[in-house]
Amino acid sequence: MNGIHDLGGMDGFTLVERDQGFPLHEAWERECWGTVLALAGTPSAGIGGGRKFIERIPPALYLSLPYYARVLYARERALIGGGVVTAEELANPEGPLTPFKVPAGFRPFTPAQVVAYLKRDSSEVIETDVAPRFAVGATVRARNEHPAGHTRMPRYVRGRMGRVVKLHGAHRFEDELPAGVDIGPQQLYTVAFDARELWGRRGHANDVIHAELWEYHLESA
Amino acid sequence: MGNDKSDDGVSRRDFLSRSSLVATTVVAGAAATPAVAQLSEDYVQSDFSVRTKALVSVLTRKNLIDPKAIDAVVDYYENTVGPHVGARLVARSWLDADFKRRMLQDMRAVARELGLTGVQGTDLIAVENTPKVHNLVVCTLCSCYPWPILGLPPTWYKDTAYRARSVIDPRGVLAEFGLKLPDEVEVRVWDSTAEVRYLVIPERPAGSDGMNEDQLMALVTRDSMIGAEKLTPVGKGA
Repeated sequence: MNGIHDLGGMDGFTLVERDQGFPLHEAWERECWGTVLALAGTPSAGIGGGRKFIERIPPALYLSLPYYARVLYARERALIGGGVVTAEELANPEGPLTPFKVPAGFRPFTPAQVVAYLKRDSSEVIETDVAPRFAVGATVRARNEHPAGHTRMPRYVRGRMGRVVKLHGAHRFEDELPAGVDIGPQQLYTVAFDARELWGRRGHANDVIHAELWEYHLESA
Repeated sequence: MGNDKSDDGVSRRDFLSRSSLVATTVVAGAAATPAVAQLSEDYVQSDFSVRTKALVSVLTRKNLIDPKAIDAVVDYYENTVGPHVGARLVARSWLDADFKRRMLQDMRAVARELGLTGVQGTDLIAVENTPKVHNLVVCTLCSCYPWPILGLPPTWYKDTAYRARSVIDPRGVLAEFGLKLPDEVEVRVWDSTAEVRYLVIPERPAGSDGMNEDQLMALVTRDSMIGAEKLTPVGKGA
């Protein structure tokens, strides 16, 4: 979606000072972030899809919230949407509970289980016999598409020409597709865009911006 | 628990004292459109600490989370993984040309070999800064970052300004960070739009000849492995 999260190329923002040290600065940030990951083993509460909810935060609110407050807001929405918790429960956390059905024998992640989860080999590569359509060096164009759902193709590359500089093999496709649409394994590429192609005369002649794009995002140019 | 006067009366005072949370409930029963706007405005005023505690409390009472697992997550990223992991890889790459070659060719294989896999950062790529090329990593859409080798991303990396500006004006961003690059240096920006994560191998600082891996590792900053700075020559101070 053409959301506020898709920030690449926007002006008017002031850089913050580079903070050092462990990035979870406040107690609630630690608890919030720990909660998100500790839920990874809980049905309907897992980490997947979190970005979709973050991207749907109304633009003005998105810009107003600190990072972990966005995470918290999105997680509340996801958990309410999944029927895991209710808005009433969150408003009155010591009040009556609405049951949420979990598989028999379910136990939430223990400390050891969550650490094992964090350490797991999370490669998104999918074995496939489908050959990549583009080779390293190929000139490609990022499709000028503006899907309403989650997409990993930032606006600033759409319609622009680039060069394939790396093939990653097929990777799990992260964009939301219309219901019932199955496009099969998608090759992933690193595509290099000259700054002048993206930003016109404002681009520096010696800058190259790379994005990872799936075959679905690309056409021959 | 044990408090059945949940809807009115006594707990109403609790309710009002958590006025930011009330919005959620009030909204649930109200007309949809203005309610959503209302919720948004109220959320900014929220006490995030109260909201987080409410969420954890409900999940714990429903046996959907183990609070000890929450602490384990934070402890893992604070004390086990972090920039020191990446710094060791960088130090080794400076000492061992073959190791560096393998990092640049297939960082994922190197990470697997060393047991450095994990969520948000198994499909890894290493890129090398040289006198002619400067690499800078960003995630314009969100906050993608190689957790297993650098830990959790710093606030500035996730901030809107860095995400907005680093792709259109990387040299301006770097200059504000204190690094002025000559026009002849090629700047390569890597926007982490997929599940691939980047490690920048910074240039080995002048004056570090003869140092061992531990000594070199201590020179490597987190931000240099994102490309946000160059390493200071040894003995020159910060």
